This record gives sequence, structure tokens and C-alpha cells, in this order.
Amino acid sequence: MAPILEVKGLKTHFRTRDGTIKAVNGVTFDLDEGETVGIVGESGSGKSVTSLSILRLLPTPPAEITEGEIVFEGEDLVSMDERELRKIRGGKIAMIFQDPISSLNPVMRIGDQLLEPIHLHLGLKGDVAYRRAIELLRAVGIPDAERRIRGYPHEFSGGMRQRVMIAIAIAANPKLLIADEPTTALDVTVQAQILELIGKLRRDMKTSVVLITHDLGVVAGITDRILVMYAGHIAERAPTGELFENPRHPYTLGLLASVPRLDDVGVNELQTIPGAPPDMLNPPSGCPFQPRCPFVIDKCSTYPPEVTVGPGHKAACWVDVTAPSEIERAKQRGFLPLRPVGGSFIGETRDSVK
Amino acid sequence: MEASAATNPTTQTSPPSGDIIQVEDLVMHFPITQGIVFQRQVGAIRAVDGVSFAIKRGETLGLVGESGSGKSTIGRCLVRLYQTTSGHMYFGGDDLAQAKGAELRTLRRRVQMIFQDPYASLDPRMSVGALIAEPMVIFKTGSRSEIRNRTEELLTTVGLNPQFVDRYPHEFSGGQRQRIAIARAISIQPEFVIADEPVSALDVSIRAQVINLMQRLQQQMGLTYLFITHDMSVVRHVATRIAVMYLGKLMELSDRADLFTNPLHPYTMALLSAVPIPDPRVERRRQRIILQGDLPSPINIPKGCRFHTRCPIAQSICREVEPPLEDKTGRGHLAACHFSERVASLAKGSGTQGVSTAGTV
Repeated sequence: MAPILEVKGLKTHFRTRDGTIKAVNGVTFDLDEGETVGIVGESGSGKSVTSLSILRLLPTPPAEITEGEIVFEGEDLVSMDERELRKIRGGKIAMIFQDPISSLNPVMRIGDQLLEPIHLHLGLKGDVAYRRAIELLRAVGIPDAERRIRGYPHEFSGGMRQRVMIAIAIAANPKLLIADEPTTALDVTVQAQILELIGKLRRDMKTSVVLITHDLGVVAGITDRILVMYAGHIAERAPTGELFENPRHPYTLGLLASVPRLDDVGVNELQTIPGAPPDMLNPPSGCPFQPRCPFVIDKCSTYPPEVTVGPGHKAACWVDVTAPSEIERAKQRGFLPLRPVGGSFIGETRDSVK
Repeated sequence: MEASAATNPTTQTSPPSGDIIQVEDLVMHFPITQGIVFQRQVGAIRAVDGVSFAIKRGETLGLVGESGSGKSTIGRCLVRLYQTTSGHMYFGGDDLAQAKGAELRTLRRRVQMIFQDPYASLDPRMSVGALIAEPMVIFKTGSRSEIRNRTEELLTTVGLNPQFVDRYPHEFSGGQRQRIAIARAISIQPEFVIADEPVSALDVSIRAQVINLMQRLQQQMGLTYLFITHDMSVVRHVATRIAVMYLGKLMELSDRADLFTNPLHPYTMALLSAVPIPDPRVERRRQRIILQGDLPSPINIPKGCRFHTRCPIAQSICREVEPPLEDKTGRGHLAACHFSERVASLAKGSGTQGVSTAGTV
């Protein structure tokens, strides 16, 4: 199956007074039809800039795509002119943002905002369009849709606004949905509702999804594959199960170990990644993770190539983090091997050990 | 008013030994007014609507709830950022709710607060040294050089370089700023620290560092924490006891192990089942309890049990009678539910109880 989206060697840089910020610095990935890929990373990792670059939503200046291609259905979005792009934005590719209150227009009725993509991309007018809008609101689980369609954003709760955003995003039956931290601003019980909704839409409409988040728990549930980003690079990529069971990049190891888990008691001290993410104005040369990495070797002053470590599984690291000799060496630097995850969570025994 | 504080019979109100703070029937209503010249009250936001709990010396009470549950309001009441509507907050022998003037000042020295957003809680025009020293200057804990030395010592304690003392907050990352906020809070050696979402604004890899720091300080200084958070995974890690709040009231209060293995309120159960676990194998096994609808408005709280509009096991009695928060097990596991014995059956396949039981088989 041909991929629906291919991102090849993408570099998005920001020119600022203080220097160039290489927010995305050589990112390559593709996405198959109907596939859901999660991009995980901390603030400043470049995950959001990657997604905004796909739709060319970053203002130039300061942002500039300096290199790379973004091929969507055989066409390069990077070289596409603005008029053609407008047909794709909100049409074939739709986006959901983190904060539904700032992405909805406060002085426009929900219905009018929802009718926009229906007019523009589907060419529907009048009653037909209106009925489609009501259908969409129902599809995303908004009760009393006939009345609510006349409401304004401030009359909706956070979760309901995000549902409206999703309704607008799926209005033109997009092939690709980019969701940038879609549940970060929401409460857990509402997050569960929204994730279930995105999962359902993905199954029903066979939409491909790029899900951007900092929350490893969110990606664990609904993605097929995961890309882990750090300082503008993809540190590791793997099928979801494989990434959690067999992480191969020191950053992924650290990330998995430092998250407090609901199914985890009796661990008295959380493992940490020392230091802080790099200053993107002056990133360390070579591998950007090396100042924080317990596995660091001399070679790390050169950025490592991505090494294939399993089917669909690549890690950009010089070191084999599974080799006993390397683990021994890292332990001397304070590295603690990952506690067992997946199937082996042992609430009660751990409780009693404590 | 002076008189009421003075006649407050401290001998009678002092809490039993072991409890550092006792909150009794705390109510915080924010009035909604209408009219410009003659403002009349037309309603109230019932942010905190009768909450009682006690915190033992040296423990961490986790206060969890979703946005709008009133958890932060409780924290703010405890440091008297709000004048409470009614109720008592006994701290030692004194009632924080009634304290005034000099008495309040002394009490405030013993209670400190850490806020969620270290970008907003630190004055950008003050140097780090001045920020950390400010409480010590206010309470005149020593001479200038003593305070300066103590400031540098505090920076080391929270894991920052003491040479940073003359730098400004903008030169620090979020995690480092939160360390500064913590140094400031512990500078006058408080007994009780209220931490309102102290790690929620931080990146995952930094979060663990700050949690570990807070736990280390607790052990070293014998601090008591009220840890306010929306994150069940974090609270499971830090708290010894946990209170679950919904729409201004406590739904459940229990020690940590009991709450997670045997939740007795359907809201707690739903909260637990909604938390994603970073493990695809676990996630695939889980079935969530998806709550319907949204949090009702705190202006118009549902009659009866305030959770009944979203509760998966609500019966007709729940619409009429508000269940009291009472001990359901005889071992101090409190829940406010008419049908707490049925909550366990909700868990089948929800993966919440599975968290602690299924894995052992």
C-alpha cells in the first residue's frame, strides 16, 4: 500500500534575532492509509512544528522550511502555492488543536463555523449543508444538536468545544487528521470521551491520524506506531507495542522510567533523566541527548544514523542499550534498568514488598 | 471581630495529637451579583460546599479532582487567600478561618504554598536570591549576611548552583523555576506546605525530578503536604492518603492502597478507569467507564447526590437524598455513596482494579 503521506528530510528553522532555531532538523517518516501514528516528545522537541509544517501553517518569517519534501497523495506540499494549499487545508487534511477556546471564533455561531468547510470543500449549500452540519454534531456526540448548532463557543464546555472542533475537522471527510495535543487541556474523564471518539472516527471513516502528544499513556492506547522526538530529531520509531516492550534509545528508556504510572506502587523514588532539554539556540553538537545520557560515548559528538533494530523499529543511537556491558557502564553513571512493564504489573505484590 | 478571635477557646478546639490540620465543614461560596450601584446577590458559585478532613503530621494528603471541583479553592482557603464563607480550619490550636492580624502572620509563617505555574508565581523583576530571601526578610529570620548564606544553602538543597543567586527567573527553565519556588516556600521552615499542581506545568522528564525533590525535602524537614492535583498517577506516587473531590464536596477519602485497590465511589472508579496507562498491552485489556456529559455548574448543583447526573449506578434515592461521607469499612475508608458496595462490580474489565489484582495471578 502506498503511503498517504511521506515526510522526507524535513527541516523547519526559525530565524530570530538571537540566531537560528533548528526546531525540526531532518525528520523523515511516512504514514499509510488508515494508520495512526503518534509523535511523542517534550516541549521544544519539534513535534508541533512538524505537524504545523505539514499544513504550512507557520508564518514565514520567522519560520522557514529550509529543506525536505512533504508528499501528500503524490504532491509536494512544500512547493505548492497558497491557493492549492487552501483546498487541502480543512479538506483532505484537517487539524485539531490543543486549545479549543482559542481555535474557535468566539463571535461566530458554532453552526456557521461548521458550515464553512461544508461550503468550501464539499460545495453543499442551504438546507443540505445545514442538515450535514447537524449530522456532524450528532456524530461527535453533542446532544440536542438542532438547538446547539445556533450556540456560540462560550456556551460550550471544554470537552464539548473539542467535539465541535472535531466535527469541523471531519466535515469534509479528510484523508488525514492531525491532532496536536487534542486532550491536553481536558480533564481525564473528558479526555477518555474524546479519545474514544477519535478512535471511533478512525475506524468508521478510515482516516489516517497523526497524534501529537507528550503523554505516553495517550499514545499507548490508540496508535499503531510511535515516533519519539527529541530536539528536532526522531530519536526512535517503532510499532507501539514494540516501543514500550523493547525501547532502544536511551531517551525513550528514560522517558518510560520517569513517568509515574497508575498501576505502579511502592516505587519510592522515580527514576529521572538528569538535566533539562537543550536550549535550541545552542544545542549540543552531535547527538542532542548526550549531555543527559548515561550511555554516552566519544562517538556521540557526531549525530548517529538511525539503526534498524527490528521490524519497523529504528533508533538513532550509537550504543546498543541492550548489551549487558553497556548497561553495566551506564549503571556506573546512575542509570537504573527499566522496571518491568507490560503484563508484569504487580500491584499487590509490589504493595506488600513496600 | 477581634473579640471573637480572642475568646476562641483554644483548649477545646485543639485537634487530637497527630493531626496537624483539621478542616471542618469548610464552605467557600463566591457570590454572583447583579446591578451596578445596588449590587444584589442573585446566586453563588458553590466552589467548596462543606468539606471536612484532617491531615496527620508528616503525611501527604493528595487532593484530587477535575477542573472546577474546588480543590484549588481549598488550598487557597487554607492560606487565607480567600475569606471563607463558613467552617473551621484548625492548625495546631488556632483556627485559620478566624485568625487576624499578628496571629494570622504567625500562622502564615508555618504554612506555605507552591503554585502550579512557576512562570507566573515568580516576580520576573526580582533576582532568584531576592525571591528566595523574601519570606526570610519579611519574617526577619536573621541578618542580611545570614539570609544570604541561607539563600545559597537553599539553592544547593533544591539542586541548583548557589552561584545562580543573582540571576533572574527568565534565565531558568520551568523545572528550575519550580525548584526556586520550592526553595522560597521552605526558606522559613514551614510545617505545612500546600502544593497546588506543582508538577502539572512541567515536562515529563522534569516532573520526576521535582517529585523526588519534594519527597526528599519532606523526609529531611518533616514537612506535611497537601498535594493538590488532577493527575491520579502522580497522586498515587506521592500521597499517603487521598481525598477525591467532585463539585465542591469530598466523594471519597482513604489511604492510598485502599483507594486504588478498592474504590468505594463510582466517581473514583470512573476517574481511575479514565487514566491512560503508558503500556499498550494493559490499554488493550482495559474497558473504560466513560462518564456521560460534563461537570454540572457549581451555581446549580444537582439535588441529592451531586454525582447522580453522570453516575453509572444511580438509583432514584440518589436524586433525592445526599449520601453522607461515612466510614464504609470500619478502617477509615470514607465514601459518600448510597451504593458503595456495588462499586466493585463496575470494575470488571475496567482495568482499574485490574491494576492491582489481575496482574498478580
